[in-house]
Amino acid sequence: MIKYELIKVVKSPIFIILLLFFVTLNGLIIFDHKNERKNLPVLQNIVEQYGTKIDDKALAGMKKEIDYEMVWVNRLNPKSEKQYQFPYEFIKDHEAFLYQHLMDRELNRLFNLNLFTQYYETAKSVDDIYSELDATEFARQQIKKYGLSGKAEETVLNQANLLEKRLKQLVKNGEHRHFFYLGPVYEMHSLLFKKLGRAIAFEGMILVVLITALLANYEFEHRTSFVAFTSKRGRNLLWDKLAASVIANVFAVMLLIAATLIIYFSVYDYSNLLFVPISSYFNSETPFPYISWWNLSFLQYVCLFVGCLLLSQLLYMLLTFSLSIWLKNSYLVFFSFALFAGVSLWIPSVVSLNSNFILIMHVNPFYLIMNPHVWFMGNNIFTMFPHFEAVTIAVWAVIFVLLGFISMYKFKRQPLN
Amino acid sequence: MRVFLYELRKLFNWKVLLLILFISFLFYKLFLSFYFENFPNGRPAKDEFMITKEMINKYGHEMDEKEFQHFKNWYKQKKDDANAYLQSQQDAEKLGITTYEQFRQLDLTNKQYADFHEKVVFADQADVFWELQAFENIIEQYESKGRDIESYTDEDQQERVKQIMANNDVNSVFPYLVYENYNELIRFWAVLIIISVVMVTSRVHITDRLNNAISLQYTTKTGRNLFSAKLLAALAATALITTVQIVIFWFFYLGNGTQAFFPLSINSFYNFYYFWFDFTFEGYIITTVIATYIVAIVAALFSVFFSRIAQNYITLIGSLVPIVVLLSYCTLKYLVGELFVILHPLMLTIGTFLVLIAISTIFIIYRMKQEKLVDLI
Repeated sequence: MIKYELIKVVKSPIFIILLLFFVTLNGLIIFDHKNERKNLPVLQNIVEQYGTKIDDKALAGMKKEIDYEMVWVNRLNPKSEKQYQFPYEFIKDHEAFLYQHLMDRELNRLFNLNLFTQYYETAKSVDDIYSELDATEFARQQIKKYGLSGKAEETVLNQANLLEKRLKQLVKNGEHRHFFYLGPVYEMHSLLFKKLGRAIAFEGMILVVLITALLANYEFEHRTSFVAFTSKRGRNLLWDKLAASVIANVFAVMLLIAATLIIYFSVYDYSNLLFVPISSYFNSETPFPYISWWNLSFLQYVCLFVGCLLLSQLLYMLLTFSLSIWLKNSYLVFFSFALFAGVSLWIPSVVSLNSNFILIMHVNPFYLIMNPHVWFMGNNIFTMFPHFEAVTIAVWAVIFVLLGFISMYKFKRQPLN
Repeated sequence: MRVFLYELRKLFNWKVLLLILFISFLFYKLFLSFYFENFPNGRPAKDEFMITKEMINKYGHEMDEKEFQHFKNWYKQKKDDANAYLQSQQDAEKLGITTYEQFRQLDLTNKQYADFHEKVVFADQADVFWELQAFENIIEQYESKGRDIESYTDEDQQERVKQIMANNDVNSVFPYLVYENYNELIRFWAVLIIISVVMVTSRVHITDRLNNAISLQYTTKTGRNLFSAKLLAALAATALITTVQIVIFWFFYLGNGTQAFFPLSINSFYNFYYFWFDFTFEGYIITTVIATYIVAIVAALFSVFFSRIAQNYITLIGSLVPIVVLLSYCTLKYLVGELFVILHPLMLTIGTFLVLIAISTIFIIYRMKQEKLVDLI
């Protein structure tokens, strides 16, 4: 029977149209500001030559390369007697000269060298920065910013201690000493995990709600409910529908994610960087760098990210399924779902900020997808728990499954009209 | 007429209205309430707001060179107040700060100075220091008016900036913060209107189809004309919803207390944006409201069309999602938000409006022609 339920989905061309539309949107997000990211290959060259790990050998090699190139730079302006050590010094003194006298090729070489130097300098400063990093101070600032107090403040500070420990371990592992695309310049982490992550989550949500509602309400909306649900087996059809919606939803969401990621990774080259820890200092975009709770490589992080996205979508499916059983009308289901999402996002902003209740209120499946770029990380004080994502998904899976069982129980015993 | 009224009544189903009410409430809480509750947002924004209001009282809508000199004197008086305040403070004497100039140039990396600075500005909330900042902003903007012409690359834009500079309107004391606040509110409110309109009008045909009423209706002469009646009902509903939403918006917006700025020109030295036309703030508000109506009607036309085409709710919602997303995007960017700002080419704005109106109308007319001949099965 699952097969026939699946046919209902396949025969609706709207899902394919929506998928194409969403993938196009994501493509636009990916290509947006691509020009500002055209110098990414500079890092590729560094990694090819020195590997991703920052050590003394790599630093010495880079310095040597800079010195070698500086000989060329210092000859660029014959009138200038001064010997420069680094390209940015040269650029600062010759701003007008650059665009008047240099050819595009030379300019490119100079700016690439400048970028190369920026990687070098950042790599050199990593140790100093991490020796001064203070997770507790970071938590204090955030607490002040959001106005937490009382028990909530206490809990967050406790968690900050945990983060502090993790930070020490991270430094010991040397996770931060890895080359990656410069965070503050390119914001690749935000692009992939925040912008695209959020986009995929919301797009997936629309697909999931529509697919699930189509299946669950099909008999009522096509006036076949009196035929389908009047026998004993009939009411159990809902189980087939549930199984079919799991299959269809996983398939649709995976297609969406896969298509988006394929476009992303074919536009931006990550081939050498797959095993760089996600907590690398180069990945950070704010003064307080990203710190994952475990030693995760970029590839592992992407896998966890996809898994978390998929599981959250299954939560939405369960909610939609229960809503459908009660409302029996896709239109109402769609907008009630939107209402549910809106309430979940609104409630954390009205809860008082002095008890742990505010933190508990953030454990909800819709808040979860608002910040996918700090999943499995300690960078958001409201989600500063190592297992925040797992707990959120597990708790709400239990709630929604129970709700599903109650709805199903009710459905089996209710009159059809 | 009777059919029209029946259709209208069918559209305003109480369940749907309840949903719209809740969704509007949440939308308000999530996207809009911030700009009502935090206007003007912090300091010195609050001081700039008060000062510009006082400027209107003193100088009228515009501030000419002579009045600007007066304004500078006013600034000097405030500075004297600040000096007097500093001289009355014991900590200031200890640190050797006696004038405002010294205070302004304090080296804030020095802990002692930074603490004093924080105490004066944040703990004591000495108003005069915030006011001075606001004065300085206004003076700087006034003196540098028209310099930002460099940031525009397009010739039309530069031409327009020159035109504005030649006009007396540029001396208007209309502040950016009032524009920014209005812009954020109206553009999100327009999106809320689009959503509400689509929620109501999308049901116009589909309910009949799902009730299998179509086969009954379309075998009669009146039934074949139902499309027009329903279209009119949907448009009436759109007008009603949009008007109600805008009236509510207006009710909230008056609370922001910007009435004093209504007759001012918005092409001012103190606004970061220039506009393609010489608007007063009043005129601009009316223009954005008209734009909101147009966008709402376009949304309604599309949703009526798809409501007739779609076989079930899923297809209907699925096909309206891309339309609402694209329409909302354009609305936020340049159709209602930042309407006629010269950052967006004039032809792009007008062109988008025309294309939207044309496509939605063509869809509807095409369907209307088919209605007479269409097969029932």
